[in-house]
Amino acid sequence: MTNKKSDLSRRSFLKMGGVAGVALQVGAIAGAGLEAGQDKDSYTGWQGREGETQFVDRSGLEIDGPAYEAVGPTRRPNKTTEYIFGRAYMFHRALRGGEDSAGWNPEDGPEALDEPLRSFYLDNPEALAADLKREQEILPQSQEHHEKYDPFFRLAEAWSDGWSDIFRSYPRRPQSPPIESDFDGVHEVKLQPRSPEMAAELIKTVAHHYGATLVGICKLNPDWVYDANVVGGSREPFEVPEHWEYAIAIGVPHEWDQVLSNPAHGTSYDAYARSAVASGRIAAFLKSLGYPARAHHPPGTYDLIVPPILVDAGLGQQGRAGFVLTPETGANFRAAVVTTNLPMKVDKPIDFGVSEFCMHCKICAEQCPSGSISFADTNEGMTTRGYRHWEIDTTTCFNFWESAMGPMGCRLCIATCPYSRKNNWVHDMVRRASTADPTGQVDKAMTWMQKKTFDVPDVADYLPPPDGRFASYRQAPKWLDVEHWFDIDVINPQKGG
Amino acid sequence: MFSSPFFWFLMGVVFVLVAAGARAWATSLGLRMTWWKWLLSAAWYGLLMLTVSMPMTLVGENESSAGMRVLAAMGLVTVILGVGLVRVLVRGRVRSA
Amino acid sequence: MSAARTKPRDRILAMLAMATVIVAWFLGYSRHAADLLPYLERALPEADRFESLSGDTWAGWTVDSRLAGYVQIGAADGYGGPLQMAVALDTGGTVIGITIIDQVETPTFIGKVLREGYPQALLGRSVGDPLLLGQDVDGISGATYTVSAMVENVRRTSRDIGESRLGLKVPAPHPRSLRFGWPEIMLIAMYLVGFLNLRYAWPGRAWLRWLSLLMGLVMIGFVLNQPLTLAFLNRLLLGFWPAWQEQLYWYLLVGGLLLFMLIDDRNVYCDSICPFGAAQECVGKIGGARRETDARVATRLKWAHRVLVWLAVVTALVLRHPSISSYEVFGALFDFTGSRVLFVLLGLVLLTSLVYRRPWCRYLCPITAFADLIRFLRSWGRDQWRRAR
Repeated sequence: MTNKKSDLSRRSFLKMGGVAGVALQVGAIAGAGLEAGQDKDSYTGWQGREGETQFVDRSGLEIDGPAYEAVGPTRRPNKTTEYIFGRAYMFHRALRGGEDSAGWNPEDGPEALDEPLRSFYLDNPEALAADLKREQEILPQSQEHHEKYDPFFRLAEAWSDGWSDIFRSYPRRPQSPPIESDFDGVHEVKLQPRSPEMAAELIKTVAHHYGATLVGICKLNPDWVYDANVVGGSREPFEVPEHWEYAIAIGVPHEWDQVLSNPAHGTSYDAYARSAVASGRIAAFLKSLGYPARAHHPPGTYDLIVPPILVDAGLGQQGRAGFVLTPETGANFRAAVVTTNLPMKVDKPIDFGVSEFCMHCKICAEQCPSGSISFADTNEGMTTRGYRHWEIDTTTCFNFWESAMGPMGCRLCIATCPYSRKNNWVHDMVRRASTADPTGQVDKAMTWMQKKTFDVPDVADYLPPPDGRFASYRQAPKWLDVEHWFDIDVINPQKGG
Repeated sequence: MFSSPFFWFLMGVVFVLVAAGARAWATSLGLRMTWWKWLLSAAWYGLLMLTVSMPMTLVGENESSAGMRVLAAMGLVTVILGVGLVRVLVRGRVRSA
Repeated sequence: MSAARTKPRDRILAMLAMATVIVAWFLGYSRHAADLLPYLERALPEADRFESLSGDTWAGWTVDSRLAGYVQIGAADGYGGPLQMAVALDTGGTVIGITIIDQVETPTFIGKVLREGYPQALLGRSVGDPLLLGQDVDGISGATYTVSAMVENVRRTSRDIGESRLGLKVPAPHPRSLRFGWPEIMLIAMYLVGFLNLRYAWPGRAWLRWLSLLMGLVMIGFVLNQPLTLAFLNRLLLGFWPAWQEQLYWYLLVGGLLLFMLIDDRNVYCDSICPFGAAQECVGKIGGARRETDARVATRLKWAHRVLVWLAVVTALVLRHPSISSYEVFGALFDFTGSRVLFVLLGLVLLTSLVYRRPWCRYLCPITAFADLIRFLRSWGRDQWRRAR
């Protein structure tokens, strides 16, 4: 009898313990899930410098051959007309005129402009219309908005200023053409690496130390180099220097909480500064090893266009919005390149399903406030300088930047891209499943889930009042909210101010 | 706290208690348990854990609206399958005093 | 009370229901016509009064009884949904007025389109123009569907007025491509097989019905998300009949339901095809759902059900908006779309399905109420027929 009683009492204990255990486990798992979502280690690129930031194994994703098609005769890009900032600046000067010349009168037509603007605008009248609209309507209107709303964005601007300050002195802008400045300060005794593989491994290790989140190496395709106006040189056309043999492609993602608060509170300068500084350091490192090197970095020290180099170096694939998506950081990746002639083993391009994914996702296009991103299913017909790839309307895009508040830029396409995710177990699982599935069904299912379960603001809300309210994709983090920390009077456009 | 190895060790211990409790309940209710019924129960328990952890991770990422929707959908599925599981387990049980 | 005793009462109620629906239709029609007047005036300002020539066309007369022109209202599918416009032509067949009445496009894109000068850029076109995007009309990058809908409205309207009112020669219309693919074939097959399966008992009958239901659940539910809904019935009642070439699926769906109910009193759709019915039956299998509730409760609930559906139909007809009173939870299940209320309702319905068989069908679904009415009218008709013979 006593045996049975103790059996029963043990059983009751186990029964109650089991129920309590389930409750405990459910609670604990909920807590663990919550913590995983908030985990600081999931902030890719911001958690460490020992190379742990480049955590995707690219060996299974590599493909042979270039990842893009040359569909016609190729040529190098033009820094004045095909580079929106170059052209915008030139156009602005043409309109304002100088001390000794009156500005260009729009009624005289593009024929009255100097080259290269003249030919460009005759070929692209919509670009002229958009550039004119920017100068005549958008900038003045934006001026009024700035006066009213700047206090609300003061903290965001300050955070951005903290990052951009370094550009005053570093990296040092080349003061002479590459044949001189790239060799300036190079150690007389050049070190010989034991093999190109070892050279590549060393460069990648130190690149991470220097602040790069991702590193890739490729041979430099001369078609990616601007055709004239080399930094430190004259405005004349120039040959691609022989010692620009290899390109070390690096990059850093934006801080994850601020990138989601685009376009209002976000900035480009956190990632710009880190990428630029890392590129400067790598160049200095190479010179100290005895090799000529030049850093090509944001915000404007470029002799080449970076995205195709990222593709060549196996860092990622081009997405619909024109930039390169990496498996670790998605669209959230701001890059820089160091050119050198240190012999290194090059990386192969990769394919992790972006091309197929972009065909049906289109979230960036749907959320773009200026409608600059195409809705076409494929990039067929989009050919630039002989290469077929996704193109956007950079003029209307830039026009929106000029109309937006907060630190310069918009970056909504970066924030809304489903690939741009922190690295927690849920997104890691999805990424692996998506890459492993050749049929694309996982991608379709994930895109569907994204659109159905994640709230997004109405596209019009991003626009300036009265059409919109300068909305952000997600609420700004506390440390960008000026009213939280300071005693200040602000007019909040996001709350209909 | 939740990512430390000690936490997971503790969870392992609690899981053993849960398993033992499950066996005690099975005996007490007179269930005719087979290996595949245990497997189904374990699978459902795994689903329950997933249903709780995935939405909470989304909430932790500051995507609470998405998290709640996923919780509602997965929760409904878990409850429905849970009812089904109970019916399967209870089939042919020995009703004792 | 037995069915025989309630028959006279039921017949009166059925007639009342149908009569009130007809009244609601006319109410809606007259309200709508008044609503449209401002748009007609905006499209054709010279006109002093408008004479209705058909459901969607008016003639505009000036003060001195001169024919200023014609206005037609139509809708074409844009990016987000139907884009409704009023287009006015003068007696020579030139487009002289365009105004947008209703649209559900994404705000940035409609804004862009309007700023670029559409649809006013289409003024001055005439009946003979091709009016095709890419041919004689420039598109706007990123807003192709919106502009295309506007152009389609102008094209259709100008040709219709040109041909039927002005007697002009219009270009041959773009032939409407017949959409006949696997969804349509599948529907026909499911109806035929379903009907035969219900009619002729054979050993595998239950099994085949389950197969059909599962197919319906996956294909009609999750893949297509196009089950039969109240909105489509309202569309038919309102007269918003879509082109059969492009929307054959819907005609098959409703036609199949009516056909087999009328010839053999069998509701093949609900029984063997409906995806939501299938979902409930699956949950019911898991939960071991019982068949019936208490009879008196069931009767009261049944009448509450019919009143609900009647209210929904009448509202849609008066407001002339097919989906305004839609309360179905299908979208929440098959596409994860819907208001919070609908999601909660879906959860409750599915949980109830664990215990009771097909609760939505029995107490909430507009289609079953509609089918009940059809069945009732059919048996009434048969009684009259028998009596006559």
